[in-house]
Amino acid sequence: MKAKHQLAAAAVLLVLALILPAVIDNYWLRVMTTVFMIAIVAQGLNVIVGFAGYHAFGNAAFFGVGAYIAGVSLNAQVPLALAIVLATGGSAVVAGIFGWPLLRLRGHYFAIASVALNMAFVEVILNLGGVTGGAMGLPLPISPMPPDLLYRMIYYMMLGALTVATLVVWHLSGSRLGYALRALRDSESGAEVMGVDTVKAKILAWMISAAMTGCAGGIWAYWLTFIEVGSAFDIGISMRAYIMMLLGGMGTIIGPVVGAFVFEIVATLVWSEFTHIHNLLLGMFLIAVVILVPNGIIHLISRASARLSAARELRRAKA
Amino acid sequence: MSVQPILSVRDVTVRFGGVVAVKNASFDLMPGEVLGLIGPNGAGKTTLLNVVSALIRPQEGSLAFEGETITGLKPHVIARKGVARTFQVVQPFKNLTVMQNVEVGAMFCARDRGKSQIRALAVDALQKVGLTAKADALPSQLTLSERKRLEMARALSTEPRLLLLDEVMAGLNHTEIDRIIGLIREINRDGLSIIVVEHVMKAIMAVCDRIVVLRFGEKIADGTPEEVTNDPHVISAYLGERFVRRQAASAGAA
Repeated sequence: MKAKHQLAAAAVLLVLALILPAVIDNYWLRVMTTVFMIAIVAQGLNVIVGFAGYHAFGNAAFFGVGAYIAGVSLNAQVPLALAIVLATGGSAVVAGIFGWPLLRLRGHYFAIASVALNMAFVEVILNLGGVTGGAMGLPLPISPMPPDLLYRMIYYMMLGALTVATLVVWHLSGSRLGYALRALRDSESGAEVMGVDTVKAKILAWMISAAMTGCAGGIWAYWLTFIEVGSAFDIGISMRAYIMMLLGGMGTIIGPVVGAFVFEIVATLVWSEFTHIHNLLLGMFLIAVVILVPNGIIHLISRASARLSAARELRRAKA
Repeated sequence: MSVQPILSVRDVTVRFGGVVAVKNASFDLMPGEVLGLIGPNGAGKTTLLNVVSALIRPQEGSLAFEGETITGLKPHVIARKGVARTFQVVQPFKNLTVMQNVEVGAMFCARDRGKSQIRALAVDALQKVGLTAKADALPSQLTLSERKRLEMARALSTEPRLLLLDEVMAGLNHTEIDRIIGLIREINRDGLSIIVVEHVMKAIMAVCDRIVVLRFGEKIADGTPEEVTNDPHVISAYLGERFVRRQAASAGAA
């Protein structure tokens, strides 16, 4: 799909998402908020994995970093908006600091290092104690807002963050940095000898990726009002986002969003209808995805539309 | 008169563990010159190109480009200074179109260039190598000959003053080789200095002003094509007696 078409589709989805809270109950409001949250993480992965080809399996590290920065800030009476900005920016800074040495590693070594980073952060928080709460977990201030209003606000915060993340990816796809990343994904030496500062491009990509992930983590912390390392640095977050990115189409603009939506909705429906065998069904769903749409839904749509227009051309030629 | 060399390689030694890939190699390239780098497999030709484009850092020795020391600089810095190269095993950006592949060089090798200027440079480079009709194709849809020419277009889009060509003719047929020979002459006429690593002797003899011969990482000859091909060391190390007989036969026929 062309960037233009993807953007148009995104605009339609955004309008639907804006009016959705008026028509759905609190259960589906929570499901959709989760969809947006994990879609942000998937967009974050899209930048470093889809564009740069660096498999940051441990990107959940920044979800946790964002959550803890937001948590500690909120406990220190920092206003919510600023706390989220700190979570976003702080995660980017952390990615910059660790990316500087780690992104000199190529390919798989980086993937392993990113997982190690996630594990290391868990240990740091556990042993730090103090303001992070350590192994006890960290309770956050509870909002005085009425729950209905609060959950709607969080829904819109997640939606806003997802919109910004998608716009960033859209801008990236046509930018110099986007070109640099796609070039180095296919041939790092090839990109270097054509003048691309690959290390700088990779670090920038990881910082953008971390900012998105950290932002989602920050809002999540505020939503949950209690965080602990097990759930904040859960590698399952990166894994789920990874599957969604693949399902939607990595390196595309709205693929990760579509993937997150399809995956989470299917998972939720399966979960509620077949509580005993939901894991089995999810597994079968995943296998089907890998076999039937290995390049993702967005690529599938572009292929189908290319075929349709080719068929139309043919019919016109015959007539 | 003394013209400054565009590239000077001084006492370069590269070791991979215990293996010495290049040993004390020194040579100069004069502006506008086409230099052939030949030698048996494993002689260190590609390693030497990798040293010039900074993909490998030599343990010893120094390099200067246009009089400025470039030893220890990063590959992208060298590229931006005006040294471009192709790879023996072509390395296209397989998810970018042919046009986008070429645009990368134009985009990153000169700052503050507008979109239209980048496009113009890419169009120009594609036209030079005869790939204009394939601009919107993906590299996977190209033939080997076209992929080799895409490598050259990508290098040319960086607006280099020194071009390193690593076996751009390997695996091509005679017509395709002649086409590349014509292309090398043409870009050399535009003022580019060129280093050609090649096994196709016909091409080396056709385009090179001077030839450097490597064996086991050491330079064993450096001279005009005639001097080098008559050098008994070079004949025994690389060319072989058959080459000499064939040269003599074709000289006799002419």
